[in-house]
Amino acid sequence: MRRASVLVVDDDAAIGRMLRLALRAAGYDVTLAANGADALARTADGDADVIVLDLEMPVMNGREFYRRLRARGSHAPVVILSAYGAERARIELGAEAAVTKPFEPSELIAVIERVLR
Amino acid sequence: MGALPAAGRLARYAAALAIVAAAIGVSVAVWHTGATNTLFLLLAGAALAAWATGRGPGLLAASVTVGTALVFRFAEWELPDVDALSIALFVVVTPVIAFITASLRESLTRAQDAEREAVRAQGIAQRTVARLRGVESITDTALSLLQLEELLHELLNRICESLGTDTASVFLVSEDGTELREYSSAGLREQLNEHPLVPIGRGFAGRVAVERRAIAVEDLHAIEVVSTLLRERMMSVMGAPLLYRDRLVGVLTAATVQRRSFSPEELRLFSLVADRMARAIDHAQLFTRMQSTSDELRAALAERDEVIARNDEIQAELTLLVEASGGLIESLDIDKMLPRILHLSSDVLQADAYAVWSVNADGSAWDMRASAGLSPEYLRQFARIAVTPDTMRLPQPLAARDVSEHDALKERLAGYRREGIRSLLALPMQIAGETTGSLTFYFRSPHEASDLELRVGGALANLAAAALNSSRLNEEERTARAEAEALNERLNFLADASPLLHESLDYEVTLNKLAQLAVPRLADWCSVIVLDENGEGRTVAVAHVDPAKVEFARELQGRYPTDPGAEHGWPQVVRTLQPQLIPEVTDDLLASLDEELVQIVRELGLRSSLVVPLIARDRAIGALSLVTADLHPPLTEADVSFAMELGRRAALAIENARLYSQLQQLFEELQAASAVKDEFLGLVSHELRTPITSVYGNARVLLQHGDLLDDEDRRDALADIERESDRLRRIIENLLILARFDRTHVLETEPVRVERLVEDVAERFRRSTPLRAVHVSAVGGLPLAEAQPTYLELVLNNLLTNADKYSPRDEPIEIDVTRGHDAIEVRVLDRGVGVLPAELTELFSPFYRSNRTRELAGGMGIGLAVCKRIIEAQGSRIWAAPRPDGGTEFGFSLPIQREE
Repeated sequence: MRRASVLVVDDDAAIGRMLRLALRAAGYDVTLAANGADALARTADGDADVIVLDLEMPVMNGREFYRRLRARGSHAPVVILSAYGAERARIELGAEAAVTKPFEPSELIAVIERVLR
Repeated sequence: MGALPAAGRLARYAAALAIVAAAIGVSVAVWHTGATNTLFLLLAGAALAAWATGRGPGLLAASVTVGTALVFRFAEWELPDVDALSIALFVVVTPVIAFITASLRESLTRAQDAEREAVRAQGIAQRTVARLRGVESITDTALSLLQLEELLHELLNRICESLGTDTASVFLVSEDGTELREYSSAGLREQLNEHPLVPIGRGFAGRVAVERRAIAVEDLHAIEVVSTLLRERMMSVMGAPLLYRDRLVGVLTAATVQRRSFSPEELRLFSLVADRMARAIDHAQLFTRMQSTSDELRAALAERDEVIARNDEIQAELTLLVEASGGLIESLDIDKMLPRILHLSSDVLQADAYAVWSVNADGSAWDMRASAGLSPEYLRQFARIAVTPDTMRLPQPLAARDVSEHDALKERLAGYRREGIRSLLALPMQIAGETTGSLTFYFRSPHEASDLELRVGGALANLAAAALNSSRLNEEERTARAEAEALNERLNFLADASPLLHESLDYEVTLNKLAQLAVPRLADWCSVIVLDENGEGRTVAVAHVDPAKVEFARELQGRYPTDPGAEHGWPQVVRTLQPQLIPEVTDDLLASLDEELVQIVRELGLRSSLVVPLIARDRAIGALSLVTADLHPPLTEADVSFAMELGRRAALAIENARLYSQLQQLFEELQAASAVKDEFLGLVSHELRTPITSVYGNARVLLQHGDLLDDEDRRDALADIERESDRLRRIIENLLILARFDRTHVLETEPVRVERLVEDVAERFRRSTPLRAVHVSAVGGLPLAEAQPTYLELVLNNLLTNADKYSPRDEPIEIDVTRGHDAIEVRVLDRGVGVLPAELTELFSPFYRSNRTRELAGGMGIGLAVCKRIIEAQGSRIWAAPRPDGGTEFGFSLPIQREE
């Protein structure tokens, strides 16, 4: 059985590293992107199974990325990850789930599992 | 003589038979004695016959017989012998013949008499009828004439005419019933001018009056009377009492100069005439009485009609006035009413002077409201009378025949004397029983007021009262209506103006619209002056119906600016907060002005002005000026309160607009602040929660899966925990400084070797950010600076972090430490996006994030603000400047430590 892939989009390298450790430990393939533009490039060849998306990022913020992703026809579930207004952004964008920072890694993993079902 | 009674006739025939019998006896005796003298026989026979007939033919026969006998006697003729038979025959036949002859003759005479009598009777009857008709006509005349004197004269003439008398008189019973007075005469006595009195019982008329029956006297001399008729040589007279319903009215007499016997018919007719006359007289007297009563009544009626007519006239006048009051309120005023009342008064009652008085509003005095015929001096002195117990309230008419006899008038006696007033009639003017005034008539000759005058004058007074009251009510109504209309107009204006005042928050627009609305409804000109923050007035609105004049006014204002210290106009109004009304622009007022300005004022025809302050929160914020010229009537006191209200509203509008604009500004600031706050919260959350997430997540991973991780991963995780914790610390410090340090905060400083501290910080930064090159250059021999080292480190860290965030990775960050005038200067130089001159100060505001750098990196926008506060708290300054060849210079100075 193929391991589910997770794309983590966050400008904060420390967060990215931490999530990579945690998700790998949970059995996911993890790809990191530092901003929206980076993430778009990394999903050009094929969508990840789940995208974990920070909102406040330089170069291309999370909202912009989300719109472009959907404009491109991707239906990959997106989990919004933000310290402030994550739930509001989820509703506004129509994303699948939202998790507010700070969070416990297992909390995020549970959400990812849910959206994958 | 045919009228002799039958008994007389028989007696006479009997006598004749007796005589004849005696003659026969004598003849027989003579014959027997032998003395046969035929002569005597004949003579005797003739004499007998003559005597028996007693008439002309008998006398003639007797005379012929006597004559024949005498001829025979003196001629001594022998008479043939007469035998006894002859003699006897003669003796018998002669009287028989004589008797028959006499009888025949008598019968004939009688027949003739009867015929004559019949004719006469017929004539009398006809005459009687005619006379009766005459009397009827007289009666008719009497009833139609009804003028006693005329009537009687007419009747008496008719009587003279009808009865063929020379005179006729009527005596009437005097009022006391004791005398008869000859009242009227016709015929001869008509010429007499005297009308004697005849006591009842005396004289002919007196006797008729007493006997109460008609009397005829053929010869006045035969009766024992003393009558004036005798003096008139009247012979025959008849008289009849004038009785009407057994009441003696008088006596009617008729007399002739010639002796005359009045026939019973005449007497009867005369009585009849007298009866009719009595009735006529009675009627006439009754009529006269009736007529005089009627005349009196008619006069009274006429008078009453006249009064009524006048009342009607007054009523009509009043009705007219009252009616007119409805449509023509302007024309119904007391000043016009009063002369009218005076005019009516003179129509109703002739007097020498007239006045209308009224009790004044508080009932303390009588005021003469109008007068006619009184001298100006009198009016000056007596036009007002205090109401005292003596001068009364005039509950009833005062009719003073002599003004000096009335206590109530004594105070004005001197005036009356000078004025020549002797009598007066004061009629109360009452409304609902309350005396509101008086209508007074003055007379310069004594005048006794009649009932009619009192009545008519009283009515007029009441009508006048009603009229004046009506006029007063109308006046009040008119005033009230005018006030209501003015109020309505003003309310309309305010209603129009109010939404306008809140329509726009640009008060200059509002005030211009207001000024436009005010002309020409309130004045010809309207202008609004508003004071600015410095108290200088600025005309923000000028309005006139003619835009050309507005231009002119503005031009004028440019040429003649108002002196802010002026003692008049808006400067004065703004100073005193009191309105200034000039009801009339007088020459005196213009005297102080420039000649050209005076000319302009005259040309514009400015007539009145009103300036009111615009007051908001108890201070003047401007002034509203209204000026009238030719279109609008001059401004009065009545306009002041309204203008003040308008000013108050305008002030409110200005104040509202100003407050609104302040509020708007504040709101915008707050809105911005709120947005900043929202963003800050987001940023703070982000900045704090991100490192916490890393620390917390890494800790959980290490705890749960630490044994599964390789060494590198474990080490990285631990390094991240350390680094992120440090980041958290710095963020928190920054936030605490921002919260704690205000502009007045002063940091305790200590001597610091700045170049060393800079190098330490740079080294730590290099370790945490290994990909970034940081070059520090410091001049040698730098003195110590006064600084707080912990905060100084924070400042350097913030500047380095910023430089790192906003500049490309491969561009090194340079830190220069130099000596300035009396400070150590530190500059952190990058090759980043740089700053714009406009951003140079804003950069240091809390939460400021340049739009140009926002996309480059996250952050809270507090780093530079914290730097600024720390540096300033140490008594130094911080700055930013673009570098000539790109990038930014952030520098700060630190005071050099003073040598102790």
